[in-house]
Amino acid sequence: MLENNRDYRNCCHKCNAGCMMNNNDNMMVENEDYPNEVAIPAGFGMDNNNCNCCCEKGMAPRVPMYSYEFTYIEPETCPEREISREEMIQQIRCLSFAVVELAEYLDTHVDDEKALCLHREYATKLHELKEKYQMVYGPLTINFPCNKWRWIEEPWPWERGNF
Amino acid sequence: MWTYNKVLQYPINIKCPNPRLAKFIISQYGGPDGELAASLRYLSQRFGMPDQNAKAILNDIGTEELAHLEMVGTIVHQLTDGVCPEEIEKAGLGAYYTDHGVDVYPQSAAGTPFTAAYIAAKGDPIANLQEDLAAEQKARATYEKLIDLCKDDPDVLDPLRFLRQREVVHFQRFGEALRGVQDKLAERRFYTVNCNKFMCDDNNNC
Repeated sequence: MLENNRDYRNCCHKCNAGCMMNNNDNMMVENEDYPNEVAIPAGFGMDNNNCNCCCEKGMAPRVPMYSYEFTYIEPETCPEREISREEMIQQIRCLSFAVVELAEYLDTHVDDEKALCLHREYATKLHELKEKYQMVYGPLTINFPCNKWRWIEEPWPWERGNF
Repeated sequence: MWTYNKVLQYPINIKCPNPRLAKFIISQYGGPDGELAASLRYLSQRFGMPDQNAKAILNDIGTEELAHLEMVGTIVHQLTDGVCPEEIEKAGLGAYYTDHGVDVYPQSAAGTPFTAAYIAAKGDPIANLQEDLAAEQKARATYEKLIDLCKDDPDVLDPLRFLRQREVVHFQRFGEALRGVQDKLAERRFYTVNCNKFMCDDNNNC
C-alpha cells in the first residue's frame, strides 16, 4: 500500500489529504445509472487539497478510496465566522464516517501506516469536536457527563434532529 | 456492548412524503437482503472466525449495518410521516396500515415479516464469508432496484446511493478477510477447538 518505507507514525495532525487507500482492487461496479459519484452534502466535499504533513509536495498523487472523498474543514480557517450547529454536526458526521471506513480498512490491512496515521488524525479531531459540540448542544451519547439530563431533548435524528 | 450516537451516519431530510416509495424501501429494513439481516448475520458469525482480522471486520461491519438500519428506518418514517390514511391506502399500504399504522415494521416489500431464516451461521468460516460476499452483492442489487424506482426524488436517491456504495466497500473487505481465513486454514499447524471431532481421539476420549 505504501509508496515507500517512510514512517508516518510521527506525522503531524494537519494532513488534509484524502485517504491513500488504493482503489484498484476495490471492485466497483461501473454503471451510468448508479454512478459511484455520490452527491455529498456540504462538509463531505474536499475544500483543501493541500497536504501539509507527512506527504512531500508532489509526491504521491491522492488516490480517492472511491469516487467521493470527504474532508474535515478546519474551523480555524474561518475564525471570524461562528460555526453553526449544522456545520458542526456535518463535520462530526464526516469524521465519524472517515473513522468507520479507516477502521474497516485497517481490519484487513493492519500494517498500513498511512491509513493508521489518518485514523489517528481523524479520531483525535472527532473526539475534540464531539466534546465541543456536546458542551453546547447536548449529549451525543449517554456517556457525556452533564448537570441537566438533556439526552431526552427532541428532535431525534430520524426527526431531523442533529441534522 | 454498544453505545448509541445521536446522529445519523448520513443526513436524511425528505421534504415530500411518498408512501409508495416507503412500500418498496421497507425491504431494506426487514427484507431478505436488508440491513437487519446483514447486521445479525455478521454479528452472529464473528464468534466462530479463526483469525483476528475476520473477527474484527465482521464486528465492525455488523455495527455499521445497524447505522444503516437506522437510516432506512428514517427514510421510511419520513416518507410516511403525516400522510393521511387515504393516501396510505392509495399507495398500496392499506394492509400495512391496518397492522402497523405508520410505525416502521421489519418486513419485506411483499409484506413477509422479518425472519432469522434470512441469515445463516454455518459453523464454517469459509461458508460464512462466502455467504457474506453474496449478501453484500444482493444488497447492492436491491439498492440499485430501489434507485430505479426513486429517480424522481433526490432527497431519497441521495442516501440510497450512499448505502449502495457501502455495500460495494463491504464486499471488498469481506473478500480480503476471506483470503486471510483461507491462508490461516492452509497453515500446516492449525488447531481448532470449536469442534468435538478435532478434540477427541478415535475412542471419543477428549
